[in-house]
Amino acid sequence: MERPPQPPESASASASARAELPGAQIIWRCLEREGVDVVFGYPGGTILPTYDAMVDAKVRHVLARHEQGATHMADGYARASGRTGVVIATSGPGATNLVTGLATAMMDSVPLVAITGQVPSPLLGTDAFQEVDVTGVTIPITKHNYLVRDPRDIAPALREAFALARSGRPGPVLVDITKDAQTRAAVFDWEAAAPRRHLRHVPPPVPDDLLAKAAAMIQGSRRPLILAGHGITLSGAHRALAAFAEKAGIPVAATLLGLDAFPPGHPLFLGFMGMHGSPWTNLAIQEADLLIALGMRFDDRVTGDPATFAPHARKIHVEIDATEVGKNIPVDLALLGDLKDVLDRLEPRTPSLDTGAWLKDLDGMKALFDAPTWPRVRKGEGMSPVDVLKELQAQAPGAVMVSDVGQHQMWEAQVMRHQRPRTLITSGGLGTMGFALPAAIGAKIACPDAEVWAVAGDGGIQMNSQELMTLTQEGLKIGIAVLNNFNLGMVRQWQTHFYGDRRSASTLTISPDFPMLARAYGLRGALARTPGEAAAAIREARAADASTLIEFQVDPEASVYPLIPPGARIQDMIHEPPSQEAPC
Amino acid sequence: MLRIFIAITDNEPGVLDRLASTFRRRGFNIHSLTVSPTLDPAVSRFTLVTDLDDKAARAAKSFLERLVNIHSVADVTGTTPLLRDTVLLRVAATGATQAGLFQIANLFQAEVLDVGADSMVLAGSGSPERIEAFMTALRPYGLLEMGRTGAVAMQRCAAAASLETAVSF
Ligand SMILES: Cc1ncc(C[n+]2csc(CCOP(=O)(O)OP(=O)(O)O)c2C)c(N)n1
Ligand SMILES: [Mg+2]
Repeated sequence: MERPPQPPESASASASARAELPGAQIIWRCLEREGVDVVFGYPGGTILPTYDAMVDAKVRHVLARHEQGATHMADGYARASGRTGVVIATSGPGATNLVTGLATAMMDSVPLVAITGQVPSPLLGTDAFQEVDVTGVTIPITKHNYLVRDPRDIAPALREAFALARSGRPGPVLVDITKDAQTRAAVFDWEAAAPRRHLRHVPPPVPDDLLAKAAAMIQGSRRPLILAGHGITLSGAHRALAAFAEKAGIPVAATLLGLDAFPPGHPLFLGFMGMHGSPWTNLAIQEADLLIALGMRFDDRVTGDPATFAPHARKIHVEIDATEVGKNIPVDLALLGDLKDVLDRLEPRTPSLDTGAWLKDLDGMKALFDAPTWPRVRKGEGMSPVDVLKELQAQAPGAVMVSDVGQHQMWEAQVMRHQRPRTLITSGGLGTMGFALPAAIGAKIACPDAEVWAVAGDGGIQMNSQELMTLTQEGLKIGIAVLNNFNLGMVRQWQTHFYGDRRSASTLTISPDFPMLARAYGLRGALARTPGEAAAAIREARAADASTLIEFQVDPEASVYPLIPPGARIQDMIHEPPSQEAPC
Repeated sequence: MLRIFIAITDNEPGVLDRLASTFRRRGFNIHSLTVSPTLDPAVSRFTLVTDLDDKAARAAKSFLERLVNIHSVADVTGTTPLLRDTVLLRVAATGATQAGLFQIANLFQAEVLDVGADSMVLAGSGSPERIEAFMTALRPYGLLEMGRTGAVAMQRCAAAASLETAVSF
């Protein structure tokens, strides 16, 4: 689009604001004005002007060892801090390496801004060296994206990108900037670049009459249950949730990403729901007469068969993203808006219910499953992975836990008691193996005073192990717990249960010597094969100055229970391995 | 059931891609699609006709509404909107059949755009039903080629105010 010529520079007070700068410098000015203190990235040809301008910028840059790692770092940083994570990469392969990280952030509503270099604008569409249509590639895995070919468009695009990333339901936004837009100069006018479109789809405050309707539904309920999701943390509503639940006397179940939204020791806390959730939590859902779903999306890993999910319950859904309402489960009342605002206004209208009988029923269900000994794993050869995590819980109760994807992730969710919001960081929606190590690096950079542990499997740790180098480079201290079960355990478990235990490509017959690998990268490495060794290794790791990777060799045959088979009814949950004779 | 959506969007590159992608990834087929700038050249208007059940239609609308470039989306299916569609048809025509074709064109207020040795090109415009009727009348002569714009829709005066005036920024 043609623009009117810019007015000539004046020597007035606004002179500095209206000075011409190369696009590359405008990028850094914008990041500084956005309050960005750290970016994660990896350089290359088309982003070199921006890396050159970075030398003079007041922003810390963390050089990852792979762009995927950089994206997960920005993601972990954002999840741990509540701020927007920033990742920078070059065009072509650099940009495509962001894809998994962007999709991970998109699924879990994490605010990210990705800046990629692009080939010079005259070469666009010519299959130039390292040209990839990254805006095309990332349409479905970003909230929005931009192709910027003119330095005058950089500030508006970046300001809108930041505003979009954190407004409404947060998510990743990508800004692809051609090399010539980085080198050509334009007036940098921060004020004129103020964003507007990010407010387009943010719902207005929930009307009072709908809140009254919700309160009436709560009033009429005898077996109400709150389902707490990631939205609690995203909207900073954990106190509002506690106040609401306590006033009304309603128990709280949590999704994987909602586990740190409510105090784990609270008498109203029921714990983890869904495929590997605790049985009493899932049964409570089936018994409830009212579900109050807060910032969660009725994911298939939560509901199992949607047709038989919570058959007796009316449903209130509080959600900021209108597309989630009725998408998976029909609801009786939708309150579209910011969760904290809704809870703050709903709490005074909410009656105090007498839920004593219902809570007693739930205690009965817990007793039925012997909750204190939960979770159970079959006793097999070697150390129990659950015991390792219990030891970690005992020694590091306040740590920020960053888990990878697989069995260990589910055990982490079952065992660890996440005391504060943002102390459980994991790839819930996409289930991205390789997430934990780089995300833990990002979390540690966001919260330098926090104790941070990455928990990964022998499979997933190898998917971004190159970032061990970044840990040493940045002088960071975290703990890395590798639960080595010599298997792609979760795959093996599904083969055991759903494919007649025919093992196909799920045994990791050979892995590197993990402690030695850690040492090769300049970290401490330790091996633990017994509970005693495990306790000692954790103790030493916590006392050490440097990051430690501990390889815990655990029972290769342990499985995660309960298990609700995909798409099955909640009441079909499985509590033990199939018997040897059973044909599958 | 055929659904008619009107989307008011920013007039900038990539909007069509995002809109189409929203349908494609859910397996929703687009029956017809028209786009043009509105009275405000910075704003575009899409008329999108698609075959969806109620639940899918609701989902499609809210997924579209989530797109940053989109100002508003209206499902006007139930409001008996005004629809216009244009068709270009090449019809087999010999000396003997020409007169009949001219008569049909006249009846449907269609234009005869071109006359060749063994075919004619007619342009018809109107509601989708009228175009169907026009084509039915021509079919016995032998339809050889068709190009159709797809519907452009607008709500009736009684049904609603201008969708464009709803545009804030
Ligand atoms: C990038 C990626 N590839 C494949 C999968 C499928 N997958 C889910 S869990 C799993 C096994 C993980 O093995 P490991 O890291 O050793 O963890 P464990 O289950 O043994 O604890 C696999 C392959 C995935 N989630 N992510
Ligand atoms: Mg494993």
